[in-house]
Amino acid sequence: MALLEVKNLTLRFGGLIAVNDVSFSVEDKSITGLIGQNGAGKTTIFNLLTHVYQPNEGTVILDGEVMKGKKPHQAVARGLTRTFQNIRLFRNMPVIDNVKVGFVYQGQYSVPSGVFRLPPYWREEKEMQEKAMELLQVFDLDRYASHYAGNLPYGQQRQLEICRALATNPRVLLLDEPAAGMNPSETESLMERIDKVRERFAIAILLIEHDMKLVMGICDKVVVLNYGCVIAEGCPEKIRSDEEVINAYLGCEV
Amino acid sequence: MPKTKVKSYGINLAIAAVVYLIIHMIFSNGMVSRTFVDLFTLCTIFSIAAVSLNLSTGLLGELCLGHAGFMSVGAYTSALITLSIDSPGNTPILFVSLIAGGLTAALSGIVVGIPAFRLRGDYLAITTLAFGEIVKVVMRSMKITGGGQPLTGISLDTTYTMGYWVLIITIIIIYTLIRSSHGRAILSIREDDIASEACGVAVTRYKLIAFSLSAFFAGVAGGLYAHYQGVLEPSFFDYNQSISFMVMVVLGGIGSLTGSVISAFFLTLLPEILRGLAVYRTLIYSTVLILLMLYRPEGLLGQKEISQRFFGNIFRRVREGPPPSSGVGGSSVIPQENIPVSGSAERNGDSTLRERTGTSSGTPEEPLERKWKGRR
Repeated sequence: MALLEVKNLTLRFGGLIAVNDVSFSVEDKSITGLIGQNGAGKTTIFNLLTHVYQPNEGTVILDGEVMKGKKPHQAVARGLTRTFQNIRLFRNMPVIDNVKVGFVYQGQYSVPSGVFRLPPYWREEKEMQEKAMELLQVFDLDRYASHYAGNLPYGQQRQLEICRALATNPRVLLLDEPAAGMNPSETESLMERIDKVRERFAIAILLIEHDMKLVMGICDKVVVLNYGCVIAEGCPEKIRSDEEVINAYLGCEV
Repeated sequence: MPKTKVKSYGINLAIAAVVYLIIHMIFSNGMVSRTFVDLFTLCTIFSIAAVSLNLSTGLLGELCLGHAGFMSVGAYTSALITLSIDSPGNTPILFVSLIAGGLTAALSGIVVGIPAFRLRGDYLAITTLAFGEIVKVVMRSMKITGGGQPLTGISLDTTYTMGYWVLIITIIIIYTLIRSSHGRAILSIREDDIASEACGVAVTRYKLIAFSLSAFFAGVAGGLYAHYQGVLEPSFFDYNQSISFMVMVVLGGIGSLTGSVISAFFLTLLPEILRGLAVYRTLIYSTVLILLMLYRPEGLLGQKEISQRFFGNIFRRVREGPPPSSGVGGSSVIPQENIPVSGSAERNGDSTLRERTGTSSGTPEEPLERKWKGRR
């Protein structure tokens, strides 16, 4: 069975059907691409997966468990963490603290032991420091650990966001347009990195992207959305030659 | 790493103790007038209120305009406890009453916070403003709180010693909270609550923790005020008072605890210093405020804290200068230090808080842009 299963997901905003009976699945340790035109409902699906919106119909099943909850942070606790299309870092906090925020929900010392600096504080802070540095190293961000996140260049801010999401120890990582605003060479190195992350952390990745080179290059599976409906699902080769997808999104090759 | 940190805690505590000894020597030798001693006590009380407001406004990032309301709850609770026991000069009982005042204020903070944190920004400000007014009316109408009459006969037990040390404890607790994992959660909410929630932070829970702790210390400050003034009137804790705490926070630097202390001292002493000028007093007071906001929009200290590290940095520049004695309670205005962005957090392994305005101060950037960012 697939790690993440989306079944008949529907969301209506008044009369507008933003997501219409969407079903797809994400296999464990795979990279799945979610593509479609602007307004097709890709980010809305992310919002549904992370409990920002409650679906009108349908269910999300993660590893056999039906995802139900009212708050986005509960989705994180169950293993679904996302990044944002427009970077949302904690700009006035050091890079390393950005990552450490991802550890907050994972059972830790109590407020009093934090305030009074009891032994659990020292022990767990040390662990957090090491874990955070390890994560930063994966993205070559460790030398910027004490910089303010807002002072990083754009590309590294994107990487830091992924790094922060990984700190929450997700089972499925949702990346919302990770390559937006990057030049081809940056996109390429990002591609490698995403692949590396999948292997190293043994997680599934679901990503929204408009860069077809990236999507076709690293995705094991691609899901195509059009006006809130899934019009195609399958391996990149299949998607590339799918007539409906070409008409709706990819466009004819010249 | 812990060793250097413990050492720096020790040094800061020692500075606080030395400052206290100096103050104590000056005050007990009768070198200054009784009025000045009282004024100092009032300054410490207002500092506690301002520092605690800084937790909810500067660090959590929620505009709270009902802080005097929490102070009022704490003041009446504390005063009623000592009045019912009737033991003037009994410090342990005063302490218990202060904590009880803090706890009731924290409880009222939770009661207000649960519905209010469904709102954001300006709406929350209005809600807390309304809370402050409700408290005022309730205190006026309840029989136990005097029923429209001022509550009198409270023993005058608050000394400058007590005010000073409660202030130090308040600063320590808020400081250590902010520099823990829970504090990072609170700061991340200020930075971006949506991203914070997407990182697994239980936003409402942390908002309530910060808000109720802020209310707790406001309540303690209220209890101290009750035993400083001896008379309690609901109208003292109106929105003007809340606003004046807010002014202290903004002036001292949003997010800087020691900055709040300095500006609380400054703003409490200023009207007294200007007392001789009669009618021009408020004029000068407001002009000073406007000028400060125009030329230093990030507040006196910006996001920095005065600590042993702060002076260490100055030391390195001045080379073996005499140690400045004004520690946490000092009222000296320290010139801005341009710590390089990379260095400040690295040096001690913990972070210097910096508000949005302060972000660019480390990088060479045109001053114009910084100014505009600061004005928001």
